[in-house]
Amino acid sequence: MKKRGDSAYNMIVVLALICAAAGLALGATYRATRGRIETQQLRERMAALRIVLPEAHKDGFREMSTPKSAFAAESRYYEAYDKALGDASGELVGYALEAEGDGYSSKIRVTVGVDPKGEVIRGIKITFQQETPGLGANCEAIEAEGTLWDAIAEGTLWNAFLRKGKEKTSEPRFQAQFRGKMFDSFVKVGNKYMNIDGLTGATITTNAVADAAVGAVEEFTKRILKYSDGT
Amino acid sequence: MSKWQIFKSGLFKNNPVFILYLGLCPVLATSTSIRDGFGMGVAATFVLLGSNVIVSAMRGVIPRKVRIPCFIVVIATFVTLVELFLAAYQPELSKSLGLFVPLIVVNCIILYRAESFASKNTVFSSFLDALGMGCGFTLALLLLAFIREGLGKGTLLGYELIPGFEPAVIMILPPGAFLTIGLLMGFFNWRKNRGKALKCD
Repeated sequence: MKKRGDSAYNMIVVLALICAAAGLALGATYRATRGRIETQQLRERMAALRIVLPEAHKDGFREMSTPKSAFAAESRYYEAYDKALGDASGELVGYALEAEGDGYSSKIRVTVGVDPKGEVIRGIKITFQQETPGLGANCEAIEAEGTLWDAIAEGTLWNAFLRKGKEKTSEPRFQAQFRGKMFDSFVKVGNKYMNIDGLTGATITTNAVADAAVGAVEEFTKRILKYSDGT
Repeated sequence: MSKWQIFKSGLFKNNPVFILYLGLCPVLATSTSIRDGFGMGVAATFVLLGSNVIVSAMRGVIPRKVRIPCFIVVIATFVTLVELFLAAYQPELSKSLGLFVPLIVVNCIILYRAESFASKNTVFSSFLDALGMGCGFTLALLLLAFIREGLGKGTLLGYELIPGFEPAVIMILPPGAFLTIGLLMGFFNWRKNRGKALKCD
């Protein structure tokens, strides 16, 4: 760095030019990646819907709008049919709700699937959390599938590194326990849900997920489902 | 200094984490699993490469008095690029690294190398320096993550390491990070100083 060019004029021009170049580079990259980021988010949302309502057709989710509330963090919920939306013979197999709860160190987003009567939880999927690794983050922990040595022998280690295949085959144990239970069977005594196998050392995360999921179904059933026709 | 030495210095002799004690915050926070540690290492290496090359290329143009703002703009630009690319192509990693990607901006390794190396050396030397420092940082993260994931979860990349091993959760939690990095720093210091006579003030 040379001594020359320390005049105020020079400093302003150089800094402004660098900022302008940075702005251009960022703008171009944003434009280039925006489509792909949106696709990824959509794909992730659809994957969560299919996990919580496995019996629904992959094109059978109809987005419904609703005011923002406890059960609808994004002002929407979904009707799910067992045939693609265009097919009139499709039957309603349930609803999917997107709820949000306050965890220990982050917002926790949960997608919940519920049967057409709004009573039985079909499944839940945590779509976002940044809880403490080793404690609250275990709500997304998947049981280890075999040992490292098997993986090396089978040549699947590289896939594990890229996170391929694993998410599809197994469901986190904490989330699996919600499947097939009536929402009103989750009773809270004091600070603890009686029939949930909580996460060790992470009561707040456990309760945040359960509150969000159970509360969403309860509110949806009492506020929306009761007044809609046909049910 | 030969080109090879510039690269090698960042790996061991001047390892940013174990010898220079720089960038400890992201190292402690993202070394809970090998995958996250590796992702953080690669992201930081990319930013380091970009900022070192640009800063070095512009070293004759940047006025001395505003050099730090200029460096920060360059660094922040590359960090934002990494953020966008991660969200587009590695959404899982982007989610698990979370806040620590934008925080690469304030990772002192990157500003330190821009200030003390790239602003005084040629583009090619700066590139090698960034590569060496980045690899050193990544190696440190991997070493820490290997120990912490292995002892704290009993797994490696999500696969069980030893069947029936009961993991010690503390190794995944912050205290485990401090314990591990303290012991590793002690080891590297011992290695560096072994054979030297003790000096007392």
